[in-house]
Amino acid sequence: MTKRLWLSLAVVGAIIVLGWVFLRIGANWPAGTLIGSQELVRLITPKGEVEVVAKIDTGSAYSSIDESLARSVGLQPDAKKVTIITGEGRQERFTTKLTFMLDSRRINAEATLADRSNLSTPMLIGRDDLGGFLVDPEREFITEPKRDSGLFNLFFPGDGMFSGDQGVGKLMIIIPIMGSVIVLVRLLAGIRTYGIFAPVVIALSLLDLNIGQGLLIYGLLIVVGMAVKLFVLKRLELPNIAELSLIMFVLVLLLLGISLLPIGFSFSFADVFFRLVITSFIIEQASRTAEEYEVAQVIPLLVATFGVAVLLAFYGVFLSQQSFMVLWAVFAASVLATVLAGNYLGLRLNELIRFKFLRRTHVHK
Amino acid sequence: MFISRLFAASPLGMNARNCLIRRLNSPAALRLAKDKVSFKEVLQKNGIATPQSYHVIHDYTDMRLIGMFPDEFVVKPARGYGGNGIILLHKANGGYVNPSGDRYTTIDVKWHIRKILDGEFSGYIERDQAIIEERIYPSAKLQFKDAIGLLDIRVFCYRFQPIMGMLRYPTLASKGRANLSRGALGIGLDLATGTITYIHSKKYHKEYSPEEFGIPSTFVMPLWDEMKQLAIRCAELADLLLCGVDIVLSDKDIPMVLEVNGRPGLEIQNINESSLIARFKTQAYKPRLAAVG
Repeated sequence: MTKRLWLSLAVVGAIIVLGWVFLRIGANWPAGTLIGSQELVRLITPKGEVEVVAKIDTGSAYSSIDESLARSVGLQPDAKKVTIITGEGRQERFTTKLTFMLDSRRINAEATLADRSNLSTPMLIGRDDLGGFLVDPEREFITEPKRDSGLFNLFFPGDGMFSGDQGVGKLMIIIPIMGSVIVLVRLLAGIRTYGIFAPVVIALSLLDLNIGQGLLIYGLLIVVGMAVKLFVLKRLELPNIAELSLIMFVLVLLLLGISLLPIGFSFSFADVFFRLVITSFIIEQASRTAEEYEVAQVIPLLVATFGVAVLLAFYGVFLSQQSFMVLWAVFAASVLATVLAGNYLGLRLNELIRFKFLRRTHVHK
Repeated sequence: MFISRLFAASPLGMNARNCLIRRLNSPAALRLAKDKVSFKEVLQKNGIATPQSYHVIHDYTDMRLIGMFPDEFVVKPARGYGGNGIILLHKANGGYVNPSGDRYTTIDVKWHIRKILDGEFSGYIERDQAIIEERIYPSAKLQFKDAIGLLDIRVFCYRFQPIMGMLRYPTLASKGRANLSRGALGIGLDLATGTITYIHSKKYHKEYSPEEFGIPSTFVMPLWDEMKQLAIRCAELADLLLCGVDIVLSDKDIPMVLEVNGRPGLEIQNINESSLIARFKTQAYKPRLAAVG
């Protein structure tokens, strides 16, 4: 007993301490990336990539780009106009979608179009696009734009809350924290989900999008996928593994169909990848339950899986806004809670309902 | 143990059960009990009655054995759980028929065996084997109203002592399966006497009276002491300190062991309206010396 206790403490301690060390070194947190008052950035435009000098201006909310430069690289102005308050009063300006690399971060900005021909730099980066950077106004050209590559940008393209080095560091901490929530929910409340960590992956993909829209698409994919499997593919009498493969074909067609609808859903690689993997996995699990028991028993499990996923998505949003210290504290608490929950031998919350004879008043035989 | 002191009055929960299984049941013993082919051999070697197996199908080449099947048989996955993948068949005009009257051609049977071999009923973890075994008919002493299929008796053992028992009663609602999770009725059996304690169904969360099923109020489980002795023997052979032994009473009134479950379910507590934890301590049943001899 005591041997196990010491071992548990050692494991928990080691994870917490190593977590601190690696995050301090690896994610270079909480310092942020240092940049000067002017930096070289690389614009990623329809006509290729161009390097330009940009002024870093935390006094301005929007980024801004010279109109003629924007036109020469093929950037189209949006219909939307924004009102800018400058030294000379209010101005209405057109905006454009602008993607550029500043140091190792890929930034998707909504930049205003302005005539900057008599200004020192053709571009200005405002504070809305400077999250995660620290500005040293006495220095210039500290960084240079890196190549936009890496697996992570493939999964989380654009300016999601997890882009850039810091984002990766945060995400790396958040994934196991979310995983521990599943353990707590299972061991303490007795809530079962499809796949132990499937809700984590669903939550991550919901984070990248609007949660409501994400759920809608998942719901549609799973309902149609299950229906096709149970009512059409089953009749083909194929081995289960072949059925699952066919399900993936059906899901891809469904996703393509949805993207053609005039509601403006467009899918990034991340969406397609996550959705396909998760929905095929869940359909596999759910159809097994449906075959073994009844379709009605699939529903509570599906609801639990997505309910927990939505909960985790909100938790993830909350966590992503926290400072390094807070996140690390939650990380440590989660490790501890997981080990403690694993040692909890009392009834799970659902078992208070399940063992209903506890509440009966008559005398037991 | 710590938990039994803290939760003396409370039922055994999943967390505590899993902890007990980790501590009491060795992985090797769990593996042996799960493999019905090997465990059946152990039982037979020790002279314990169990349904006779005609053939074991290991791979696709064994499918040719299908011509040698007897007129009536049960097809069963060796590592299945929850009664999945079990079909009862008898030969009829060139094909096969199950008890509900569904027709199976030879190809259908081959197809089902192939699914078993592919592990479809054992979680796809590994390849499985199909057992072709004797069909057991229920004893006349256990034929009640609405019961379809084979009633089975679950004896819950802790440290090789029976501590709780129940009779599982397959109905139309459970499609002839004796699994409580599928809606079979559970009839709690008093450990010492074999009389009925409570009757429950998981599906309808309702308590029944024995009269509703035409069971006389004087009902006593036939051969109850023999069954408890059988359970002790099987738990010892399986080397499982926490287990549920499934026994059926054949039409010749012989108790036969179907399997020993190393991860027994907890629903038996609801059926008997009492806690397993309380029984761990008392170990109410002690075998009579005369019966041991």
